[in-house]
Amino acid sequence: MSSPMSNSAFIEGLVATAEPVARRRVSMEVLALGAIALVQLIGATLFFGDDAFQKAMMGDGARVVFKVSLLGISAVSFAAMALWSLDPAARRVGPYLSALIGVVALAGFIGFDRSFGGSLTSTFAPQFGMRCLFSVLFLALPVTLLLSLFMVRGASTQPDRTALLVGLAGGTWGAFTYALQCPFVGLYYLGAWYVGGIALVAIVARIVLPRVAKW
Amino acid sequence: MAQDTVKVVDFGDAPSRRKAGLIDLSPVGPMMAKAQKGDKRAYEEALSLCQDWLKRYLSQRLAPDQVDDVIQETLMAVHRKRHTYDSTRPFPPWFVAIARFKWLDKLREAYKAEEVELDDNHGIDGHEEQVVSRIVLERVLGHLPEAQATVLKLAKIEGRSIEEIAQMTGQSASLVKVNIHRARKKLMKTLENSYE
Repeated sequence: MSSPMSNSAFIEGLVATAEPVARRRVSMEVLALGAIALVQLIGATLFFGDDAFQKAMMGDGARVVFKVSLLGISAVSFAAMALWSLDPAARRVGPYLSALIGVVALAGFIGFDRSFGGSLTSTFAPQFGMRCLFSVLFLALPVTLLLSLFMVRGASTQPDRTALLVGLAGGTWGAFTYALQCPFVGLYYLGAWYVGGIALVAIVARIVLPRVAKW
Repeated sequence: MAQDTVKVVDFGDAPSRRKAGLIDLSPVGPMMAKAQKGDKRAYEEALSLCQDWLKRYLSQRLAPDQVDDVIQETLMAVHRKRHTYDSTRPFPPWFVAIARFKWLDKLREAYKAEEVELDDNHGIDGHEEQVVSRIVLERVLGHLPEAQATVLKLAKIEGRSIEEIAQMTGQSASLVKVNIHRARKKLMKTLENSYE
């Protein structure tokens, strides 16, 4: 279908409405993200108590540190990739995303407790797991919403992948914050409830954000 | 299949060839920087150069009656997202990425509409060239598995009906539709991967 307006008239219309714009600054986005993450960490520390991490460490301390580190590094990496992908000329992030997920999954498989300590009920029973899942979802909100805002303002030419990265970054950050007071290090428990929470945030972001941020 | 392993397809967007015809986009960067500060004259000049470039770029990729539509959609996208241009970096990669994104968007949109036609069992009206130019189509066909390339070629370049293709290839009508659907998915993927 041909456009009813000539291109030169269209350009005139665009020029007539053009006002000065504030340029997108990645450094400001990183600062804002860091600030909101810090506020959330302080809030979580106040809520869970100062000694929550020490208590969580009383069980398998080394694995708790490993869990927190893995989630923290993953969250920062996903967020960095999401911000990177907001530049229209950014390289396709798909291969890097797959590689990162693969590395995190492998590290988790090697590092976490695969012995299935405790019963099936204690691993998959909803009373602990659901609390963990909903906490991850709730704690994922601030970072996910801020990154979503950046996505709407940015110009991703790979919106599906950016949306997935936004969800993964938010979900992983939520899991990281929750993990600071959680003593569980069983592979199956974490695989079911932590990964479940992260996956839920990522799926919702992947479905909703490309529509919201369409440009 | 060896063809399936090809991930990078050069459709003329390598950095050294970011000129559609003779139009060089490099001078647009400083103009765009001024436009971000509200300089309307610089902005008009920048958009006019972009429009000239787009005309050449899109006429190699789209059917003639689609070109102006996509030019305006691309200029609108540039207008809305002009704050994302970093004037310390070259302008062409930023702009070409947006142009390509809008072109692929148009293609996706057209395919979605045609998928409904296929599902409704109405056959396929018209040729692929109504959406994508023959140059692009012929280049991409080489990256598809033979069965998919054959049905897409028969349906979209030669304009054959589903029944005719089924008779010619010995495939059932539903398999022909499936192959057309898969060929388009693969075609879009190949085009998207040619970003790099």
